[in-house]
Order: sequence, then C-alpha cells, then structure tokens
Amino acid sequence: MRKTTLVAADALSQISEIRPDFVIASTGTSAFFAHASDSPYRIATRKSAAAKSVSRSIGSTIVALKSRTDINTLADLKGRTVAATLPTSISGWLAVAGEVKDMGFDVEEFFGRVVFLNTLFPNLTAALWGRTVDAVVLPACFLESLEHTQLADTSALKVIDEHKDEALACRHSTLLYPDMSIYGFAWTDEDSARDLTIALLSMPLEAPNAVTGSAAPQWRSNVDASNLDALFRKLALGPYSLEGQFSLANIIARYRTPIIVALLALLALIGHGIILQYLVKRRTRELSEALQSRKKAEALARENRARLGTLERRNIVNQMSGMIAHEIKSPVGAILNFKAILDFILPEKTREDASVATALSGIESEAVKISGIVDRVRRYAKSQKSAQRPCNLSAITKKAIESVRAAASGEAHIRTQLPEAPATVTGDPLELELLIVNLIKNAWQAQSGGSLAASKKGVHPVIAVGIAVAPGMEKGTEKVLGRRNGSVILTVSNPGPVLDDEAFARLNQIADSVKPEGLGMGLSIVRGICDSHAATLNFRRNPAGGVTARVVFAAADPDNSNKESSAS
Amino acid sequence: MSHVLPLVRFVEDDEVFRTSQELLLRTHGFEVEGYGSAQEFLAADDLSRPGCIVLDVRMPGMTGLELQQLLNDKGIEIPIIFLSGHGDIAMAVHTMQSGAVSFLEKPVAPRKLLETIASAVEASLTRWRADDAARKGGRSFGRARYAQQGDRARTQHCRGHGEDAPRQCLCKVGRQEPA
Repeated sequence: MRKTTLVAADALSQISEIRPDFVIASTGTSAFFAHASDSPYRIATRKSAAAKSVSRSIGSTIVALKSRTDINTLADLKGRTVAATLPTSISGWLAVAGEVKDMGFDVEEFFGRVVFLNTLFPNLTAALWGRTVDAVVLPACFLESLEHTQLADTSALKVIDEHKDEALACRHSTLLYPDMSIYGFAWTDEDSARDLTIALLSMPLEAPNAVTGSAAPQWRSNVDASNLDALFRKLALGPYSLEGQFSLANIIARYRTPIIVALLALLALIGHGIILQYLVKRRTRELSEALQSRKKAEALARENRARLGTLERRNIVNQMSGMIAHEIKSPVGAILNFKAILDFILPEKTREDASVATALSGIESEAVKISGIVDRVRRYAKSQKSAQRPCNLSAITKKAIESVRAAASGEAHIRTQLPEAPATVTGDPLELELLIVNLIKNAWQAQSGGSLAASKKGVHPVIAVGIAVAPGMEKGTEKVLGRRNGSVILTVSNPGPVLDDEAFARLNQIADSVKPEGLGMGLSIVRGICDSHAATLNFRRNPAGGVTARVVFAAADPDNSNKESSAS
Repeated sequence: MSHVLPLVRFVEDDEVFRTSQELLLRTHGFEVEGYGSAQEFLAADDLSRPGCIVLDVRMPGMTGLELQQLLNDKGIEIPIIFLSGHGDIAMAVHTMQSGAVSFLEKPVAPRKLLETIASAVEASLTRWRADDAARKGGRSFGRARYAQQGDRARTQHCRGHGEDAPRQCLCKVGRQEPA
C-alpha cells in the first residue's frame, strides 16, 4: 500500500493525475466529489463514538470566558474578535459560519475580526485566556477532551448558544455534519473495494483513547450528506463557490442547459419580436388600406346620395309640374270646349255682336294663355330629362341596390333574383334607378314603419327584388303591338304583416292618386316614372304577408339593345 | 246592309271636362257616352258598337294605358284617342305602338278634337260595315276592304273643307244630324 497526501484545494486535478485507488477526504473536501468528473463513490464515513448518527457526527463549539457577561449568545459576538483553526474546516469554522448565515448576517461582516491560528492547543486557548479574542471556535468534543486531559482549566469557560440535543454527547453550538469519508473510483479494483469496505465496517470496537478519553470512531456506509451539501450551498463554498465562477467557461460549463434554454428563449423572443413587428406592419397596412377603402366607399356613398337627391328633386319638380298640368289643363280644356259649344249654338247674329265676340274671344285667348303657362313649366321640367334609350334593367337594379345599401350604411338586407340575360327596356337609366330606389325605400318603410336608419333598431327585413322577362308573341300572329318583344316585370317585395282589405285599398289609393294631397312623394315619383316609361304599376298582397310592387315594362327590341346596353 | 249608330265614349275622371267634351260632341251630332273611370267603362259600355274611345291617360284605378292593354288583350278594335294632361314622347310612342289612333295633349283645340274623333269614328264604322258584310257573306272580304279604302279617301277629302269640315262630313261617317 502506498500513501500520498493531496492538497485539498487541488484534490480533483491531482486525483485525475495520480488515479489513487482510494481517497480519505475530510468532510469539506468530499463536497467537491459530488461534482467531479471521475465519479468517486463513497465507501464508508467515519462516525464519532459520541455521535448517535454518522450523518451528524461533527460540529463546532463556541467558547468564551465566563467572566465575559456581555457575551452569552452568538448574536453578542457581532463586531467582536473570534479565533478559529482553519477557514476550510467544517468543525473548525464553517459550521459557525453557517449559524451566522442562518441568523441572516453576512459572515464576512458579522464579526469584527476572525483570527485563524491553525492549531487548537495551545494557540486558541491562549488567545482566549490572553483576552486577545472575545471567543474561540473549537471542534465539538475538544472541550471535553481538554477537561479529560486537564491540559487547561475549563471551569472559567462557557459554551455560547449550546444546542441542547442528544445527537452528540459533547457540548456544541452549531448544527452537526458527517465526518471524513473513504472514496473509491471507477478504476478501483472491485475486489479491493469490497475488501476495504468489509474491513472498515467490521472493525472491532476499540477501547477509548487513553489520553483524550474519547472512544474510538467507527465506520458507516449509510450516510446522508444532504446537510453538508446545504451548508456548502448556504456559504457558497466548494462546488457552490463563487471564486472563478464568473469566468465565461465556468458559466457555460455550469449553466449549459439553462444558457441554451435562455438563448433559445431569447431567439424565440427575438423571432417573436420580428414576427410581431411584421404582423403589426402588415396589420397597419391592412388597416390603412381598409381605412382608405372605407373612405372611398363613404365618398361613393355621399356621391350616390347626392346624385339620387338631385335626381329626386328633379323628379319632384317633374311630378309637381305633372300634377299642375293635370289639374289645370282639364279645366282649361273644358273652358275651350264650352266656348266652342257657344260658338256652335249661338246664332250668327249674336256671335257677331261686339261684346259677345270680345267675351268669346277673351275666354279663348285667356284659356290658351293659362295653357301656355303650364306648358312652360312642363318644358322646364322636361328640359332636365335625358333622352330615353334601350338599357339593361338588371344592371340598373344592381346599381340602385348599391345606392340603397350605401345610404343605409350596409344595413339593407336585399335579396335579388335577376336574369342572366339582359332585361332590356327603353328608358332613362337615372330615372329607372330612382324608381327602383324608391320602391325599395317604400318596401322598407312599409315593413319597418320608418326610415332606413330606423330599421337598424329592430330586425332587419329582407327586401326581395326580382326581374322576370315574359316572352313576346311571334311575328305574324301578333295582335298586340306593344308586346311584340314581350314584357320586363320588376317586382319589389317586403315581408311585412298581412294587409287587410282596408289597408290594401288605402295603398292602392295612394299609388293611384293624382291629387297632391294623396301622394307620398316616393310613390308619386314611382308613379310618375312609370307613366313616363309607359309602364304599369300595381300592388299585390303576398300570401305570407307584406306587399309586392309590380312594374311591367314593354321589353325593348333586343336588336337595338345589344349595342346600347353598355350605356346603361 | 245593317244600320248602326257609332258611339263616342269619353273615359275621363274630371267630370266637368268630360261634360264639356260630351256637350261639344253632342252639339256636333255624335252619340256620346261618358264614364268616370276605366272600371265604369268596362262595366257599362256596349263594346260591340263602332265608334271610338277618348281616353284619359292618368286616372285613379286602372290607367288609360292599362285599359288600352286590356282591350287589346280582349281583341276589341274600337279606335282609341288618348288625351293627356302631361304626356311625353315615350308615352305617346307606346300608346301609338299599341294601336291608338291619336295622342292629344290637353287642352286640345275643339276643332282638332272633332276632326280626330270624326276620323276615328269613320274608320271604325267602315271596318264594322266590312266585317258585317263579311259575316253575312253578301260581299267578299276583298270588296269590303275596297270599300274601307274608299271611306278613308273620303275622310281625307273632308279634312280639306276647312273650318266647317266636321259639320259637312257628318253624313259620310253615319252620324245623326245635330239637334
């Protein structure tokens, strides 16, 4: 057997180099083995005869002079001078440092000064007796050994903060920790390890030391060293030492996994940031585009409303002038007729009478003048109308629905059934659009009893707008000239309540009325446009409720419409 | 040959204007019937009599255009003269395409009205005679049409008589002498 002494601070590298079969290491040194790459394993740990458990075998005793009444607890040593043996020894110093840490103090700052004197006796006790220090830190059981050997008078000494437990049969001031251990390695011969283990565990009990009086230690293999590990962690020593800990290599080696995880997290965060930035940019762009398109839609809606408003006003003028014409021209015609009757039935002699002739002539000329005034009003209204031409009623219907939707801010629920082939009629596209807009508005108001805006509050009615093309008669058999190309039938239905006879009669009366007091202006416009397009307008009650307005146009000649349908 | 008196129908919702027309026509020897609405006309009129219909465009209930369409659908060939307070070209074209003989705007000059009605009644009467003859087989269809052409030529001759033309042409269109 060859024996080599290793320096604790350099133990791990020396072990790798020398590759000993076994190592006996103090408690402090053994803490490093848990993290060593050579994977040493514990064979046995020494157990003090005074200890009940191998895991709690050693500790420290803080001793002061009894005469120092100002020092009774560990806390009283704050700012004082303390002597100890070695700074790396568990029982010599570190166990006390652990207690100070447990009290919540920094060991480096708690004591006024710490003196390490290497040897226990007589240096430490001399320092105490000489009053150069306020207290000394002794390994547990050393005080009992002094008493036994009578090397020093211990009667004037007192133990500070003595732990009153039965784990160790010596006075002690700190927690207790395992004592030194013997370790084997991967390269250690298995038989040798077995033999050593057996030898250690089966050592016979020896008689107590004749000098110190302490019983001989024993060896145990069942050691719980977790309290030791906790102490090193607490004091940031051994494997938890901060010395050299902040070198890049150390940090990487020790925290490889957390560093990788952190780097990955950082990368993920950066990636997330980039993606977020991209998404924000894209969303901003989309919002900007949506805003632009909304602005455009609003501008278009405003334009539509303005256009329809102008058209509506123009048509109101037209309708009003039409009503005036209808109301005035019949009486004027009657006056002229009555005058003609007088001309015919009055004897010639009477007619030649100057007064009668003047009266008759005056009647006629004034009637003609009134008629002329009405004609001028009519001409003004007509001058604002564009010429009628073949146009596609389906395309106009789509445009009208867009106008209504724009006016109702998209709240209008309109279902359409339009033929794929052009539904060609002869008319003024703008007037026809106004006709359809007014029919839809009337349908809406009939259902909701209010304006387009009012319908937002309740359930949205679905207005059905349809166009059907009825075929015409074949040439040669035709009797009805006006239907030779068939009819185009526009229907606008609302799903309102079932109308009773009285309500339906009232609706027809309003639609038929030519009197100003009987007109809702919307229906007046509808009626007027129907008339000017030679279309018929009627209303039908839907079996399930609501009303369908039906406008029948004469279909235009498809031969002419093809080339002009694009104009609609 | 059968004898029939032509009838001039006025379908007009303005009662005073209708009365004035009726009176004017009666003073000129026409037999006249007035109706306040299209429905009234359809319910009461003897559509088998030749003559003409003077029809207002805009009326409560069925409009003049709708009545024309209905008569066309039924195959009634009584000439229709439209009278409108505010007719426009599209409406005029539509009614003429649908077989109206004239489209006059109110207030129409009484002379013009009388001329137009006389012309329409004459055409209707001629057609009725031709059809009547054809029904009885006394004359061939071709000859009836020949006679119709002759009547039309005479009507044009009437128009050349100036101010008193309607009165001079009475016998030719089969009217009664004015009372």
